[in-house]
Amino acid sequence: MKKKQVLVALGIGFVVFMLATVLALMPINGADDLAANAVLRITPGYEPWANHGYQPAVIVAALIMGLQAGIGMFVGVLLVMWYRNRKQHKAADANAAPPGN
Amino acid sequence: MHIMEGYLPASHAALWTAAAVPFVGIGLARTAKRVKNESMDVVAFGAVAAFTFVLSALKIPSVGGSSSHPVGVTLGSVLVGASVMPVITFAVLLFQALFIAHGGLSTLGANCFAMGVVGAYASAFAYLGLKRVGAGRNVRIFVAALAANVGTYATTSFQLGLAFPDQTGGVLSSFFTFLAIFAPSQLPLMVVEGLFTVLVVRAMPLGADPAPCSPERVV
Repeated sequence: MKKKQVLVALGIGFVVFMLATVLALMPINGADDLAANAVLRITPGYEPWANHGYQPAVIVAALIMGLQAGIGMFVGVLLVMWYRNRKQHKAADANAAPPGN
Repeated sequence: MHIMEGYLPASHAALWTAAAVPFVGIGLARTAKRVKNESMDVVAFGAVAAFTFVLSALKIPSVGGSSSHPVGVTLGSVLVGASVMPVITFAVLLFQALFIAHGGLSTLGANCFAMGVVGAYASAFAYLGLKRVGAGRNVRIFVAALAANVGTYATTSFQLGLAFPDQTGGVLSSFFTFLAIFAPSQLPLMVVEGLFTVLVVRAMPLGADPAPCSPERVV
């Protein structure tokens, strides 16, 4: 794996980290919340019987989502590059092999 | 989309968990076997898992002022086979339930069944069906992503409709109510996910066809 490829993967991962964090911070109702509201509208009096026990602060949740996306993108891009390099090496080896082998 | 913690009655949560567990178990066993006998590329598996984490973390705003997440299972269904996806989806959903309070442990089985089982198999069968009629690879992948999203949000709507039937219209009316809630955010996301999946598959030089998506590896 070339150093330049690792830096490219890091760069893409960082951009995705920023993007996912900003998106998570946008004050927009999620479809999940809308569905939960509909449950309460259809079945008045329903009380969720389980809860998370803790609710991370908005900024903490956004950063975790950003890290999830950023690290995932970094690893994913790195593996795609590795896959491509390996494929190219195999093709080069096959071309270099003498006839009959 | 996730059903939030505690938003399925305990009996329904248990039912969907029981439905999802065999798929996760079989997926684990098949993954281990295929890695061992080298019929699955571990690099492709790693890339698929990584991109599933990426897509499920993107909260994308959509029309109507709501937001949602791509389901992210299509890439895996096409590259490594649908039977592997319940395992990856379970890991992603568990991470989100534990660390960012998205979804929940009580609804993990229901969410895993909708995304990792119905979504993954819907995309794989759409892909294989289009292959049979001779559609191009990019079209197959794009439509597979649409099928994964439709399959997932229809299943989630059914799960909620079954648990919370409308007092006058029953399960069917409630099912359509939830479909109408998910549709505005999920429809544009299908297109985003479809394009992203096509781009990633194109970046992985697999030849004319992603070989792993063959019927014997789907089921």
